[in-house]
Amino acid sequence: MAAAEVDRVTPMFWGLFSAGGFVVAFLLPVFIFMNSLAYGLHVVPWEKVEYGGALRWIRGDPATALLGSTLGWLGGWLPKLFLVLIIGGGLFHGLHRFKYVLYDVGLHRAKKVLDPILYGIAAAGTVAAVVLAFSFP
Amino acid sequence: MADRGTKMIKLRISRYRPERSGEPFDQEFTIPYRDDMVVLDALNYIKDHIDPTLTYRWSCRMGICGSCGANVDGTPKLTCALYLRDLKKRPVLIEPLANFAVLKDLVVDIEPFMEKLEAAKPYIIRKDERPIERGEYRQTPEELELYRQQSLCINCMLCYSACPVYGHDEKFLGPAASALALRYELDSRDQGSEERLAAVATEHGIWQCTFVGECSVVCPKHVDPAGAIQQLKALAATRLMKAMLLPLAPR
Repeated sequence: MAAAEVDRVTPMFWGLFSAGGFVVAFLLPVFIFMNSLAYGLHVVPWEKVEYGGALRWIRGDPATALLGSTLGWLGGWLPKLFLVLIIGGGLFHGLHRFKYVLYDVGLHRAKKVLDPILYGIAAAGTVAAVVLAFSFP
Repeated sequence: MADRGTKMIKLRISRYRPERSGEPFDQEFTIPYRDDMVVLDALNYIKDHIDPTLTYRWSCRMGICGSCGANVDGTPKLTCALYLRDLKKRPVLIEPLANFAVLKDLVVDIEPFMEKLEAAKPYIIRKDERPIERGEYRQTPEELELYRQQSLCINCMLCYSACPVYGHDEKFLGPAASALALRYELDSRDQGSEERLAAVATEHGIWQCTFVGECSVVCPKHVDPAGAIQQLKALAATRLMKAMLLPLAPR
């Protein structure tokens, strides 16, 4: 076989798919559990959870920061970054898998069209997540 | 030839005899069989007793030579390791391995596969070649264990027959050749990683794999080529990112 060029583009998106896979597999289930079932199962005392407290934490109120007063400024960034990771990672992972599904049912010839559309959706969703998260509250 | 009470089995075999006609056709054979017979025994019975023109590859009869692969009831199998008693459908359908050009009956053209194996640079590449007097490049059992799984491949090509990506595109490097590349990547004696990874991390190389995983399902030696390709992808991706983020760092 003739020597072919090393593919430098695919690995980038595969890296996002791979990192997104980690996020989806490990962080998303915990996130969903902690925000739903955890209350019902009394893992988190629901009486003590209140919207105002969560809002203060997201805003980076040093008094509520988990990291102590010196790193308190990070308090507001961490939950936002976390949301962006969950949404962006999930999108890049899920759409990459969906792309493979489409390839396997015979759309592999449409690679040049499919790739920009699907990764475009993932990128747009990630940008939207950044804008929404960091414009909040 | 068959005693009363002997169990009979019907097989439908895909035939192709280019010297007679350009069209492949199916031919049915009904033969006596015992529970300890494998599909290859049935093929040998037909060749010995019914039709000596039936053509197929085989050698060792014990799942190590990798030559007797065929699609049995639509699934790529080593015919020497598949018992007739385990096949439920009648007639048993025996076809040549899918995704390969058929030369005659069940014999397929292995030339494209050989080229792919070669493209993966399946040999130890040394930057500093030691003179022969200094002996072998030694290895601990732990170092051997790292690539033992990939080294068990017998080149039977069942994985290529099962791979839908290879079915789409004959240029795809494919499962066995990729697993072979990883086998040398993981070998402590090898120093040719850069060269070999560059050869396989191409558009029609490992990056074309969509991780269907059928190759690992049909592999008779549990080489797990699908897993090997994902390991190569991770290796190639991290190396590329390292090169971009830390251009001066040693790789």
